[in-house]
Amino acid sequence: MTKILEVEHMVKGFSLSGGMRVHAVEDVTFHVDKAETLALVGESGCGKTTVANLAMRLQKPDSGTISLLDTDITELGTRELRAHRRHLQMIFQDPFASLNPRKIVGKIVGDPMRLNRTASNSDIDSRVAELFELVGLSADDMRKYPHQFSGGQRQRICIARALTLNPSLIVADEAVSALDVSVRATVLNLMIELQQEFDLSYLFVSHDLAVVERIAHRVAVMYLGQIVEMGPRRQVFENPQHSYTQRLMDAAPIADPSQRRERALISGEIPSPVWPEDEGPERVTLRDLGDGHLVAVE
Amino acid sequence: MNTATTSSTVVNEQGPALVGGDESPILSVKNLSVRFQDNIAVNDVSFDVSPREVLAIVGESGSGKSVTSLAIMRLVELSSSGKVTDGTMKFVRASGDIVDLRTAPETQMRTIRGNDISMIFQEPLTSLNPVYSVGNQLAEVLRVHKGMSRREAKKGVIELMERVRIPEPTRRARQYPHQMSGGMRQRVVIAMALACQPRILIADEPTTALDVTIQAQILALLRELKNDLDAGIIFITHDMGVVAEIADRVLVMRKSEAIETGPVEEIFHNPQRPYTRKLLSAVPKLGSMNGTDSPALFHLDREEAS
Ligand SMILES: Nc1ncnc2c1ncn2[C@@H]1O[C@H](COP(=O)(O)OP(=O)(O)OP(=O)(O)O)[C@@H](O)[C@H]1O
Ligand SMILES: Nc1ncnc2c1ncn2[C@@H]1O[C@H](COP(=O)(O)OP(=O)(O)OP(=O)(O)O)[C@@H](O)[C@H]1O
Ligand SMILES: [Mg+2]
Ligand SMILES: [Mg+2]
Repeated sequence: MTKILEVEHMVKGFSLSGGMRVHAVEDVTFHVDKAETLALVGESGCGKTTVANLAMRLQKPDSGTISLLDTDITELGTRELRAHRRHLQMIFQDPFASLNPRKIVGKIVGDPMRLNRTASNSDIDSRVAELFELVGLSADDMRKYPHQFSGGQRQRICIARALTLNPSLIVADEAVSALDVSVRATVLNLMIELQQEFDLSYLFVSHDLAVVERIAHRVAVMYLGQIVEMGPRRQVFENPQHSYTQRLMDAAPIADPSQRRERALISGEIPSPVWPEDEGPERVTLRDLGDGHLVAVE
Repeated sequence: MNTATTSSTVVNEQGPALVGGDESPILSVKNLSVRFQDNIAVNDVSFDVSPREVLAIVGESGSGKSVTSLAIMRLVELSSSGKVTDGTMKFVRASGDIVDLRTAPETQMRTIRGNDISMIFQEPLTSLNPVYSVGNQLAEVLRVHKGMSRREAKKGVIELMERVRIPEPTRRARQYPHQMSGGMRQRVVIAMALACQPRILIADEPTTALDVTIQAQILALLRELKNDLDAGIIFITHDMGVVAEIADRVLVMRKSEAIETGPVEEIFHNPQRPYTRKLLSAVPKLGSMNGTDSPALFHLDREEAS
């Protein structure tokens, strides 16, 4: 198997006031193979977006290495990164914030192609129109500005933009969360088909376990900055070993009002990745259960 | 489930038939239509919201769900091309006065917005100011809407952040929106809306960025809010699991129209419209991939003519 992305012992923290530090990503190691989807799941604030940003080299890790297609990109500067960015696209968690409000969306989606001079202007326009149709928008929408769309339509514009350059890896951060189930199914099918056709790889961040179950080959479960369980999707879903993974599976809502559960308000201590500057969380040890199914020793 | 009774209603040409709540509504929207130039974003939509009732609005992306809520807040005209072209939105204030949100003077709207009716917007970043700390922004809400002193507000902020399960609230309060995770920002916005103690809360995709355990907490908080304050909630979401969990009634929208409305059990167990059936059948169920190793395409139900 060719590894597209390989991340080793990646660490990233942020300083807070009063000599405290957020251990957002703490010694994270994983890889994504060619034509593979690795899903990243876990509690809100556990470090998923930070991992995604680091993998894209939008941020620099405090330590550890990031390799893209066998090239170490950990230390590269903006200029040197540009050549690699073409293989790497990101769909951001917050679609509105990632779209330039002063540009029409047809231009936003076509710009990566213009920057890379991969096609003539008329080819670009027809490619953009094609992408719009694929994500369930119409070619007429190309002349509109981002604010003229609904939340889910904006998210689809971001998806179309990520697809323009036929990248090798797409980092998708909650990329389909604003779509209705039927449009979402269409978009996810498109993503699966593109993977099969072009050997595309995905790092797929999502809190929707039912979606992850459909689309992922492997799953990594994060808790407070660390991976606590990782392995083939079938193993992790059918035989979850870590207590946090098990809790996650049990809490998934069931789409049937007759099975409604009364849920009490939780109170008491909230687990936190914040530590005094000279301290930090205990690092977990991962045990291999076979077939690449890793579980943190509890 | 007994499928013989059909109290789920198909909205027909004669005008929308509504299944009323058992109490008189706080908000009654009738024949609402909204346009952006030649684009009809909302077409002849009607619904009621009663005290302690959760109305879920579900449906196609781009079908007019968010625009409907913007119309209730009278924010449609903020966009130069937007206009409410028809309908009434009767809202009962705490005093018992009834105002039409479509025609009420702007001065009155200013006392209603954020106090009587508050809204959690779909994209949390758009309702947070990037240059103020989240604690400052929450404190501002408490001072303006609950008349708290600076000291009281400071304490109130910490309590609010704890309720939405943000860890280390004292330190987090000093952070700026971009220093928080997506789900934390979403929870700050939810905390702001809760702090307003509204009579109507409009929550537009409030839980999209939240994992299932924190989502459950937010749903429990919303339930508590409506029971304590006799408030009504309009809950816009794509997540059918969340609808099943919290909604009393459901309104299904498609292509700017309300096509079906009814009690939540009826919509789930006895949907009348092909689009509603399609929507429900497309919901992936956890466990459906048991016994398989590879990803699989979603089965797309072709919709019969509606
Ligand atoms: N620029 C920053 N400055 C300070 N802290 C930050 C910054 N970026 C992220 N953090 C902190 O790092 C932690 C991880 O955040 P991250 O956005 O990666 O979480 P996440 O898993 O994506 O959560 P969500 O599911 O809510 O989006 C959080 O505690 C967050 O507040
Ligand atoms: N400011 C605007 N100017 C022009 N058109 C707009 C504007 N805001 C919304 N629209 C259009 O109105 C229609 C309804 O949008 P709305 O945001 O209500 O959809 P929605 O049901 O909330 O969808 P989603 O689930 O994707 O958020 C869409 O076709 C959208 O493009
Ligand atoms: Mg995130
Ligand atoms: Mg919307």
